[in-house]
Amino acid sequence: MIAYDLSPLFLSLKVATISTILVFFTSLILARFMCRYDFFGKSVIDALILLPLVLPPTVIGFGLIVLFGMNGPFGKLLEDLFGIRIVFSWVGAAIASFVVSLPLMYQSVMAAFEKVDPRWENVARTMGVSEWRIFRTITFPLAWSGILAGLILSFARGIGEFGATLMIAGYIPGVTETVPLAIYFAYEAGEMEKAIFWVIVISAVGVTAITWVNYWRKKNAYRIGRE
Amino acid sequence: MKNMILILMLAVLGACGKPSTDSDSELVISTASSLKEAMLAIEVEFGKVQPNTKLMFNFASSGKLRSQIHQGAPVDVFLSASLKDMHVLSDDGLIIQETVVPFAENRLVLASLNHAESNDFSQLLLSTHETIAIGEPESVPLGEYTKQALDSLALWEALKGKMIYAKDARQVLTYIESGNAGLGIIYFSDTKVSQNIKIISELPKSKLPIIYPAGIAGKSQNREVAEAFLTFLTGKEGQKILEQYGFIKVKGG
Repeated sequence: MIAYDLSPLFLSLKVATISTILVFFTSLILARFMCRYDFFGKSVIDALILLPLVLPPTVIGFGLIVLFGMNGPFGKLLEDLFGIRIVFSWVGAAIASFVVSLPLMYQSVMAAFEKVDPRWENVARTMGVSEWRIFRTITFPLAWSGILAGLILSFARGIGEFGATLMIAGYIPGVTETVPLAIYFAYEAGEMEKAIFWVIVISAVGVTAITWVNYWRKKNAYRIGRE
Repeated sequence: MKNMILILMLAVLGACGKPSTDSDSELVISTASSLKEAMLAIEVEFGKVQPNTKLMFNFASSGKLRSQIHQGAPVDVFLSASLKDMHVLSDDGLIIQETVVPFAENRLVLASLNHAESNDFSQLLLSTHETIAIGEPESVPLGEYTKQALDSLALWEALKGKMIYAKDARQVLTYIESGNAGLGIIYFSDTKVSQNIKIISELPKSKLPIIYPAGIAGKSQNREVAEAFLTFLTGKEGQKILEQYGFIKVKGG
């Protein structure tokens, strides 16, 4: 077995972890808000959040380039204010992962919140418990297994993101080379062994994630059932 | 409504299967991306000589085109940006050895949107904080030539991490044109298709000459037409167009 530079794996894990953390908080806030309030244009916002699910990755990549490119409005702003460059950097890859995994997480969290019986929350309200504490001690724990599934899905989607990443982050070996990019360029260059190596690695990560979440859910369901 | 959709679908299907008449022939030409504009111009001129032949271009990096042909893509002619990719195919019998002919030469330049001309480009590359766009060195000939040129100047290792790899020569140009990469190493011919790009400096000639060979695929059903196309390409008219697009005539070719 030839030893390959493992930096694509670490980069992919870094990108997926950061994007999953961001996705976690963003979708909790969004879902909580969308679950509890009705307002004009709600369905439009809902559709906008879910849109990346059905758009081709090239459209997302194109949109990101237009917004965050060196001459894009946000790209210019970030460069001028903080000296942060999004395009051709791992930050770009994290943003791409964030955009594509947000709808998955948002949907899971929405479904999880909707499943929580409002009577529990209402009982707490009659006791004068603050909304924040209700969320922390009742809604969130009851919704946790659904949220966890969303987290794993988001992480897996983030680690596998290719199309939009290639467009915004480009291919700089050792800097923006995630596992999917490593596979693509290894194949392009005819390095089949290298491509197969990364295919096995990424599949192993995926299988581990799915197995772990299934195990966790079973354990969790048992515990909740017993209490 | 349902009927209309059905009719529409049938019409589309019908159009797909339209049989071509005997005199018409189609030539599928796998073409290195750096040749794009020149070939589209040649298509127009060739159409005047051979109005019954339709040219179908497939543009990508030569490395990618090579693997497509390896995997059995139905190609008649291969226009490569590197002798290496052509030789791999002719050694495997997928391109007919005797038909392989060099038809153009190119050179490398360092280019950008807004830099002034400079002679000390080594210093410029080493000191810049901007991203340098180049071709991917394994599958894109432009990248391979670039790597060789930078290697011979002992710059390759020093610039790693600053260089963004593009999937074909044309993408390098796009990276520079969009301003997303501050600098880039492209073919001289690429600067002819973009009005905004400025040449900073020409790269020193590397050991490996940048020669574009053409060859006819062994599986081609249109060998005669393919030969006519190659004759046109290497002839006076074809060479004139290539020259207009910044390519150099191959010596003895």
